[in-house]
Amino acid sequence: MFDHKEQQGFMTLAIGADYLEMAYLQALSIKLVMPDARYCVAVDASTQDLITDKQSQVFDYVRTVPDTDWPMDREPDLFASSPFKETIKVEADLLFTRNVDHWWSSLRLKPVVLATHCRNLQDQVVVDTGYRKFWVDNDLPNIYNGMMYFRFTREATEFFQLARTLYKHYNHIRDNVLINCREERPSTDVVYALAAKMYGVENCTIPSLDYFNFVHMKPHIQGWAGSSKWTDTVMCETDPPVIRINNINQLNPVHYHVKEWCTQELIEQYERA
Amino acid sequence: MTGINNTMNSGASVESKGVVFFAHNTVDVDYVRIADLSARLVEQHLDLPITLVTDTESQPEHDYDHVVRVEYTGNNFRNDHISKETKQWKNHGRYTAYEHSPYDNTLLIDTDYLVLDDGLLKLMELDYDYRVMENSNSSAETMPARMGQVSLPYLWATVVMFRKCPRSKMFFDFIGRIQRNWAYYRNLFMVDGTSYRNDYAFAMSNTIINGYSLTTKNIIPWKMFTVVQEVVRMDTNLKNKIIVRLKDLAITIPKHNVHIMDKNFLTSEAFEEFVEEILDV
Repeated sequence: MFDHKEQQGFMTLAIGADYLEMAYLQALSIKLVMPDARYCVAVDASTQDLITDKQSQVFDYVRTVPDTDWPMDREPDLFASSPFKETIKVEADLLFTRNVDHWWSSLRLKPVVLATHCRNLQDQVVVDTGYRKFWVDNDLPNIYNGMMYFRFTREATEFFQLARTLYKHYNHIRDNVLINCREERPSTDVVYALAAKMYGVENCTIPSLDYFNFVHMKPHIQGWAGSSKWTDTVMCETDPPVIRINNINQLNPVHYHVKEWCTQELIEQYERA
Repeated sequence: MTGINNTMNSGASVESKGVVFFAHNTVDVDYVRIADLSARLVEQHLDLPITLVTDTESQPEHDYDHVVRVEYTGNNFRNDHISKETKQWKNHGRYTAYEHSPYDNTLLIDTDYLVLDDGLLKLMELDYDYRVMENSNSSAETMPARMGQVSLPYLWATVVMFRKCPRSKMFFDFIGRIQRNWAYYRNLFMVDGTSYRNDYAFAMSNTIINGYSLTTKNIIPWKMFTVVQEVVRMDTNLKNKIIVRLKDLAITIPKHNVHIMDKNFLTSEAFEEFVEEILDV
């Protein structure tokens, strides 16, 4: 079941052509700032057929997950399919802007580490926002699934088995346990928050690890009224690996969130860098 | 005193210190009169020489260390939040403070910032190339924190300190560049409104000089107090306190520096009386 090839690396789930492109851009960004970093993309069979030669050269590993019409169902499978003993799993729409090698030694303190906060583009920690009312209502831990770490251990195995069980019984939990749950199908943010609560928040978070987080470009996290996309709201300049948004160089990973921002032009810019 | 060159040439071990005021009279406000009165407060509390940068026609009455005459060429307007009228605003050229200052260490202070304690002298003991006021407590409602709805926080160019050095020169040169290309930088930083404002230009320059980052490195480590409302008079009859009397309110504050935005008050007899009282205390 487990097939670990290397000690550590980054991994994402990419199902569909758009996510494959974003994963490729992410791999380019990681290798630009950490040339020795290893990268794995998990795809379904149909997405695997879309992988181009130049993408294959950047992806160190491609792992296949079962086909699904709801990609988030496959998230817990990444633990088993990772080729790394230690994995930093990130969402595909997230770019790295500087070397984060120092993260590994801190993340090893726990078998599973979930990000507990995110930042705005001014590098300020944003703990609670209008998006998190559901978490407050249900007394769920404020975790952000854009980024997580796991190490191949018995404890981590338990965590992901628990997550898988929650996915399986989501309809019952949604209708009978959760308050004001409007998510018809399970999202990783909700399921992993539930899993963290049941597993023990203290066992899968390190709140004092204030650098294990990312800049989240949702408008409310930025303190902007309205729901316009950030790409329509503020100026962004890219000079890989530098990403400057609203005149501030972003030093933390950028969860750009707006899929259309990943253009062919941007990918070519990273390829040339 | 002629600044860093003089110090270097003379081999002097003590760097010179002084204050620079800018005062350009407009059709509505006699800024030079405000400068003359504020200068007395500076002398009383800081005991530093003052250089006034003003236009070619003004007639300052205070005995300044230097008076620098410049031809004002800007064209700007502001919305007076008290009278609700649009007024002429001669705020261009503040970036030339670096070249006009004859001092090695300069406090660049707006004339509507009343110096009532010696706290600014403490600033000059810090390690700095330049520092700008970031925060202001207001006597009224919370002030806008950003240059625009989705823009960055701004600084208060009301109080700036700088030492003659390449980094400070770069900072002021960049402000000049921003002023000359205001339409561009205003759009780049998503500023609401069109009028050039030094507070914004100083913030933009500071962000860019610091590698497009927000840092506290060049920030004055305390807040100033700003009175935004119409002021009727200011009293000094409480020991170590001052009373700022507004139309329907009085604010009693410790006797510390205060930023008064009501220009009508600052040009009134009431303000002159306040200065006389302070100097008599």
